[in-house]
Amino acid sequence: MPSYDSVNYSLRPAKNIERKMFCEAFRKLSEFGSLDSYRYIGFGSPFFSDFSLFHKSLNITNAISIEEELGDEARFIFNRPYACIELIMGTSNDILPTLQWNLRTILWLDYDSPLDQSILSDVATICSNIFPGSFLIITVDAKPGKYGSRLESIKERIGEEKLPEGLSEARLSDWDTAKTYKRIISNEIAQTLNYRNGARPEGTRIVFKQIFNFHYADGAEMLTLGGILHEEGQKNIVAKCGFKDLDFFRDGEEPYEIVIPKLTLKEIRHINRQLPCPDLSQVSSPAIEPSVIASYAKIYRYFPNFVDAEIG
Amino acid sequence: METITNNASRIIDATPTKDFFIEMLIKDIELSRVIIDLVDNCIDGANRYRGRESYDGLWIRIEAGPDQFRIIDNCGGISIDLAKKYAFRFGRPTKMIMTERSIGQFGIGMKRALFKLGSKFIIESTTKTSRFKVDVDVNEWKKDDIWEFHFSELETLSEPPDQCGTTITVEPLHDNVSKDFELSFFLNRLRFEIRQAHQQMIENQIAISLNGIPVTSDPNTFLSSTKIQTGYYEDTFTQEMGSVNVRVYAGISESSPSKTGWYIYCNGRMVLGADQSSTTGWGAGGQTTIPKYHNQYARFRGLVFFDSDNARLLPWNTTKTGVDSDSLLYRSVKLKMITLMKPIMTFLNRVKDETEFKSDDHPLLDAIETARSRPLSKTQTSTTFKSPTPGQRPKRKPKGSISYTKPLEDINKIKKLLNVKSHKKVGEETFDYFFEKECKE
Repeated sequence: MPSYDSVNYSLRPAKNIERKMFCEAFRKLSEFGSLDSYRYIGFGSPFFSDFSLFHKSLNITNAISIEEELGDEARFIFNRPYACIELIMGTSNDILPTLQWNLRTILWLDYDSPLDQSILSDVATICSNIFPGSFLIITVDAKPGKYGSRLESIKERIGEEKLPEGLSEARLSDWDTAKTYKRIISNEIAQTLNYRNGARPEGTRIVFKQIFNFHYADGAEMLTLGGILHEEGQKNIVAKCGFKDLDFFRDGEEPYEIVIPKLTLKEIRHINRQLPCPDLSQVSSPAIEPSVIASYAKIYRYFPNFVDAEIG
Repeated sequence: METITNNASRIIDATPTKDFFIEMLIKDIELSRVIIDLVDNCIDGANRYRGRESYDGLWIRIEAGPDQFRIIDNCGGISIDLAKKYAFRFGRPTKMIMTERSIGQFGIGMKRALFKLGSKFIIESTTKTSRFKVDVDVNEWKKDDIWEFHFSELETLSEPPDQCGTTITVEPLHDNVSKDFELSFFLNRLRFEIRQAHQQMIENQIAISLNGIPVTSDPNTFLSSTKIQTGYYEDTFTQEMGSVNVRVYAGISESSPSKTGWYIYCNGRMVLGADQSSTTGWGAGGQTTIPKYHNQYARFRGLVFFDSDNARLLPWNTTKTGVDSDSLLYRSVKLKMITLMKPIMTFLNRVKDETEFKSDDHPLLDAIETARSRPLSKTQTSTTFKSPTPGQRPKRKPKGSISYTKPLEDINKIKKLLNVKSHKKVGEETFDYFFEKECKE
């Protein structure tokens, strides 16, 4: 059952925050070309929240939403928020190889499911064809699953060949599954680019610069891995983009954790009045732990309030 | 103890023996392949002669019989310079000027073929300005350690002759070769392989015959129309040593399990034909990207052309019987082959569904019906394989089947009660009966 039947995306706070963080990062792509020249590809679901945000904030008008529930086409068309979104029904496996790839694209493939071969297949298709200056983001469900069946399950979904060495039930517990997935996806990207680049002269070879490595839990542990694909010779442009200045920039194994602290609206307003503040020990709210203040301060600018998410 | 100081006696002889060399050379390559190598050399000659324009008027005649093997061509001949310095060397000296777009590039094709075929060979070649003859008795030649051949006849010509070309004769043949040439099975196989390998050349008018019968062309065609278009990708890979032009076509044709698959050509010479293996991407991504070959994909045709002035840059293996899968160039192009191939797999799966579903709305089968078979040069292409949208299908509930055995007497009792005639109906109606009564919410 697709997850949009059970979860109302636009109310998921961690995803909401993630989306806004992406928007801030995408603005920095203007060094490559104005944002409105970019194409956006995603899995809209009937809510199309990502499409709405990116169109409104970045003026992206070339957008494709891929939906696999063939019988629900009428529902998606009905809910499409803007005319500039093209809806293509089918699986990403089938559709990605048929698209034109001769323009800079932002792809956010937000899969409802744990990492499997078909997701890696999409990653390979994208990396084989994507235009330099493009941004790729993959989100997968990173729940570890029941102890005792984790290794079996991951072997079946991904195949032994692609698994890192030394995996075991314990090594897949908690957030280690997310870390393992990150390594597998990174390998798939690197391997595909390696093949693609083989016969190309230096300077035009395509590399992946990781920008996002998010761990967040919105009811289920999720991993988001994202970055920019560019020609080696474009290193200067990427540096100019200044992704490093983003607080949530992570280009290595260490993840950025999005933790939503449970605070009342009154508490949020109270803490907001004290932010920004260089020394968080000065910020307080009655009976709220400093660690909670710290978690909130990390993401306060992106924090949704529910009125904003529904109407704004 | 006495240290030996004499330098000459410190030398250890490491020169190869001719016997060993010949044995290694002809090992592990099939007879038909060496004959095709000889044809390759004729084609290279034709390229030198005509520079890759029309080969009209050029021919290659192969005569293979139990007593003698002969290959005659009028493709321009071998110059004395070429013969003296390169054609009889084992391997290709670095100083040799490469034939543009050559096929024979490893420098062993002719020699390997001659040693594989028999024990005596004669090569006669005439160019516009020269003529020579080389006559070798291999058993005599093996007797010494001198790595040389001799021209038995050699002359420059004051006037260009009527015909410029080469004749190679091998007689007597080795026993196993002689026997093979008696078998029509072998000769048919040889004919097929020549046709495949030189499909392109034959289409370009070069006339090849085997034992008097022409080797005809059987070009790949694509189904083409406004609704069905072949996927096409083209690129040039430039490196220090030269550049390689790559063209990839992926589309559909008649349904034929023996003809389906990928065909790979290097400088017009086919090195892989009707490939259905992982070498060309079948089964990629653990079968999630591309499935393993099944007969439902028997309409698929993929063609890849690698062309370069520097044949060394091409991704073929030394026997020209396959691709070098480690080639960086090939691995890069393979990603494109997979991208072009994928939508065709999706299309053929949908065609299978349409065939099984048997509804009145079958746009895919209709499109195949109305598309025409066209040769490569006339097929309509697009950046990705184009096909019509499949018809609307209601959401199908997945189905399973149940089978069991019960006493015939009991089955017949139920048949009477339900007023049905088949066992199948008994099963279906008893199932529905229970479902109605017990499972309806």
